[in-house]
Amino acid sequence: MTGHGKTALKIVLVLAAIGAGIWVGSTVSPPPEVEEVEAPERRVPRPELPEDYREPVTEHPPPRSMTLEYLDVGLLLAALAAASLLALKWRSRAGIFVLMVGCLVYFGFVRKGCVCPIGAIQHASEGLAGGFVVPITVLAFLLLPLVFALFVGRVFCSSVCPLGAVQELALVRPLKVPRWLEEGLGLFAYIYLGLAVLLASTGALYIICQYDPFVSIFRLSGNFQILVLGGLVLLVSMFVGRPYCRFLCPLSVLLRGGSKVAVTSASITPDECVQCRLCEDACPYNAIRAPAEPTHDRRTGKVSLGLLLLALPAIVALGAWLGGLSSESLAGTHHTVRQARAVRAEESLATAGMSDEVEAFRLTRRPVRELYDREAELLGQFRRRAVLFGGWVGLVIGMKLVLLSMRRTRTDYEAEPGQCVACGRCFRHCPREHLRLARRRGDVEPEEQTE
Amino acid sequence: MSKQDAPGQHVRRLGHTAYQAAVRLAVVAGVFCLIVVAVLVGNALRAQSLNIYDQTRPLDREERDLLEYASRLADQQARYLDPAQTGRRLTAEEQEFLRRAQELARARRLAMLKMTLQMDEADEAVLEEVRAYDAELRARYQTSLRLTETGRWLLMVGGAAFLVSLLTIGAYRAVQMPPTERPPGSEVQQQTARFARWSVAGAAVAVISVAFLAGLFRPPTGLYAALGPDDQPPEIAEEPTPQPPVGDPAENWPGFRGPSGLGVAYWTDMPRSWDGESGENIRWKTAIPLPGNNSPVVWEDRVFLSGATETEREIYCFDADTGELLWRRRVENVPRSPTELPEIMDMTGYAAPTMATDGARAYAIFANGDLAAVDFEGNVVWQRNLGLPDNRYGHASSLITHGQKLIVQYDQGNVPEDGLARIIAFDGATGDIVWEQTDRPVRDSWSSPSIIEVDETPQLITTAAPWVIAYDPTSGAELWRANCLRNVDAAPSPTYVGGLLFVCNEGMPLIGIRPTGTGDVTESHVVWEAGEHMPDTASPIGTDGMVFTVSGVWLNCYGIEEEDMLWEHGFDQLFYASPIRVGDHIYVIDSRGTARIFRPSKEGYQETASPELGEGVSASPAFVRGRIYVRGEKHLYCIEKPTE
Repeated sequence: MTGHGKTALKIVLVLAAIGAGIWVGSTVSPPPEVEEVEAPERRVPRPELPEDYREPVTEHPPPRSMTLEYLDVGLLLAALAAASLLALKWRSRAGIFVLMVGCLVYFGFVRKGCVCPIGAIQHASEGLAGGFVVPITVLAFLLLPLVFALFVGRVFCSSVCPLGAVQELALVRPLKVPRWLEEGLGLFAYIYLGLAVLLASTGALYIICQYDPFVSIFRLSGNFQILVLGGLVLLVSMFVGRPYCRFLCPLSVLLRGGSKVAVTSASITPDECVQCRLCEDACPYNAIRAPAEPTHDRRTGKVSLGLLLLALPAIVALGAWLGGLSSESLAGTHHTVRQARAVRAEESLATAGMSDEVEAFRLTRRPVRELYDREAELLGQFRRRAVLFGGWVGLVIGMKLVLLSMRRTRTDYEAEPGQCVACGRCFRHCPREHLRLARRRGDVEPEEQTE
Repeated sequence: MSKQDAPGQHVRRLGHTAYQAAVRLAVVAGVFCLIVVAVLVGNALRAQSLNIYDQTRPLDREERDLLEYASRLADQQARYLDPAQTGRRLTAEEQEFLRRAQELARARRLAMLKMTLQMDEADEAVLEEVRAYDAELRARYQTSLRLTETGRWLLMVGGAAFLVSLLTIGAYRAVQMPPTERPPGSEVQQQTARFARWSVAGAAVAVISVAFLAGLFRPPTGLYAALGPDDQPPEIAEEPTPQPPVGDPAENWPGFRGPSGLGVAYWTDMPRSWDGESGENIRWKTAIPLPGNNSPVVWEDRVFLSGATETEREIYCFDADTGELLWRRRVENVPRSPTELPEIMDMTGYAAPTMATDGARAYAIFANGDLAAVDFEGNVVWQRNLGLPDNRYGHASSLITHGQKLIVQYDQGNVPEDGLARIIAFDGATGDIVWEQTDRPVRDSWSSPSIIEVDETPQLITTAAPWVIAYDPTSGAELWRANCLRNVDAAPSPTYVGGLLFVCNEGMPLIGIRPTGTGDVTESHVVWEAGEHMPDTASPIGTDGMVFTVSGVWLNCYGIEEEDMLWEHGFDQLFYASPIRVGDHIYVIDSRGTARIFRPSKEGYQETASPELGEGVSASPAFVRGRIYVRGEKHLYCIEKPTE
């Protein structure tokens, strides 16, 4: 693709992203009418209290003001801009580090990790499915990192994302994950993205938020399971660079895609690669690719590529079929389906007692038929969307195999744009960078620049 | 900082002051974090016990025994280890034991307080003690929360220090090696790609396996799919299509005390003499497999009964002409049927409620709450459990049908405030609930519902202390209610005569209500009252300006106009079965099986006949087409005049 072609593609992608955002934010169906729900303090019978008892007033904290919401968006925008400058123009690892700590403090500890662009994927999914109107600030949190990725790569990951920051800080002794293993593990991020979209669009679950291993750190609290999960991820992060970002983060899937066609992105060398190989092991995230020339028989490669391309529709179909097969299990994540199943089990099984779900339903005094009808409706939704989800997983697997069968020619050491999180760790490993810095300090004569 | 370092520099750096400080900081911060984590975990575990609701929950027998034992042991140990007596200091172990013993004693005390509260809500001293303990628990919980809050900040600071020190150590220990010889990039790329394809394929296999397993073990969706592998679903009739009933309910005996449950027979030409011992006028006599106090239900040529023990529940269908047991259907595998046995009185038994039929299906309910509908061929149409009844003497209220609806009066609880009483109408064909009334501020009862016609409008009458409540049997809407049942044991059903509904309970007068009001009619429509010794089981029967009751061994006659008891007549046996009006006579059978057939009269007892069945009777007989069906203790009898 020519330079003009790439630029045109990026403009189209940016416009598409903005258009999608506006559509999600403004043209989705209006929110369903919410039944008037009795205040929580009145859902249970009022106990008999003495006449002189003074009932405390229930306090409802006001929602966060829109000004502060917009301020958050402004800060995100500013942080992304600063990250871009630090990674691409000023090439300052120290600056990136400081910005990263600052963003961790604000977006992590002050804002308690919410709303974050990763979780916003779910809001957008549910909004697109007609669940509710997505607030513009939430959309901005999702779209801004994507737009920046299209222009300057994954600068959001480098220093703005609090989840990445925690992992970056925890990395004490990085161990190299073999590339081949990384390719396999990397699939799970795509699957997680598909699953998160499926579950959010059906109104079942915000799985990304529910199983966010870092939220317990930001909020300094959490239930036992989430604390253990957070502890484990933190432990792994001490030896494996950014495991969540590389193998699970759904947003990274989108950012990777954007970064691959980005206008520009962070590079190891400030100007040219001298093939010194000093940066070979500099990246703890396996983002640096060595020069390579295709040496094998081109005919064999073409045949295997052709076969994989032919098999691609079959892989997608298999995925779709498996998705449909697992739809009923997936539907179990929806509270209404679970409640219907609990009521059915309670009506069908010789069990004494009543689960909370069944009791809650019985208290509504709604007919069981209504619950079962809603369950059937949801099962239909899950069936259709699980087929799409399965197809997506099949497509990802198939495309991954196809891409791994394609040979690429590379003449220099390069940071693979999709993988590179623009953390700047590799800068100091490049002698050209030292030269640049020396030149800037005036330690090197101008004529030495050409060496 | 490192590429230009010579190997010797690396050794020197490890001796650097900053490096050594980082190592020390790492050790201190690590130990600090461990201590904080230990304190937080201990605090979290302790916080779990700071819940007054958990501590005052009802204790099971095992827990009560354990507490009793621990408390006794603690008392002994406390005396033995009392430093004032022994003059020595307690060891840490002994102190811990004493602390635990005090907790157990307190738990027992709380349980007792809770019981006291349940018995006497107004005891202010008890309330104060509970409040004081609640306040103490809250204070301890707040302390625990503060400790957690402090601890997590300490942990964060400690963790940050630990990480920073580790990063510093890592930076000092970093050894930059010159690049080693490597195979050409193309070979590496080729090999990596080959392995990566296998890696992706492996991940794909894992995903496929998970999806396949999820599909294989998908949750059940069928109505009875949640049954375990050993549970067999009940035999449900394949096509429970509603069949139009053949026959008129008024001409049959569709439930307890006949049509509408009012104790009045449609057929009047009935035998008045028989002898169970000699077989005189006994058309047939058939043994009933399982015991029960329910009365026979008759529809055309079928007679239905139920029987049950602790473990078995059955429905029987007899041929009305020959007495042949046409089929018996075991009621089993009822969804939600409790494994626990209901607490019943022996006299009540496990099959006290009389069945009901709408001409298409027969319905039975048992003491454990199992409710079953069977067609006339014995196929189960539907069955369900209504929950183990909380009923002092065991569930005894009989079923009644109204059109294609089955109505169940399911009163439970020790006090009306328990809110357990309900009345439910099921669709006879499907078992779906048509309507349900839970706004019944009554306690457990044993009376059966009946249906009266007031201004050509049906009213479903229920009696349960303290309310008599009338509902619209079609919609379940409440029509009126009267607070007039003064005794807690409500067993007799009402009788309707002369525009007055007569209700009674043991230990209270006979009450007459005009069933024409709406809302609470206690003050406005309870217009009649007489007598004081009302029956504890048998229902009254009214006719021609009189109401008759059988209470214990006494037959009483009350004059409606007179609003007083007119006469009483004593017998030598108790009455459990309800009297039935058959034409111009009333039939009632005593507990030894002697029928008292008498002509109602204000003048006094006028017995027409007193035939003997020769077997004890508790159930009320059924009168259909010249035949009397009587359930004895072990046999079902059909009594009929010899054809001339």
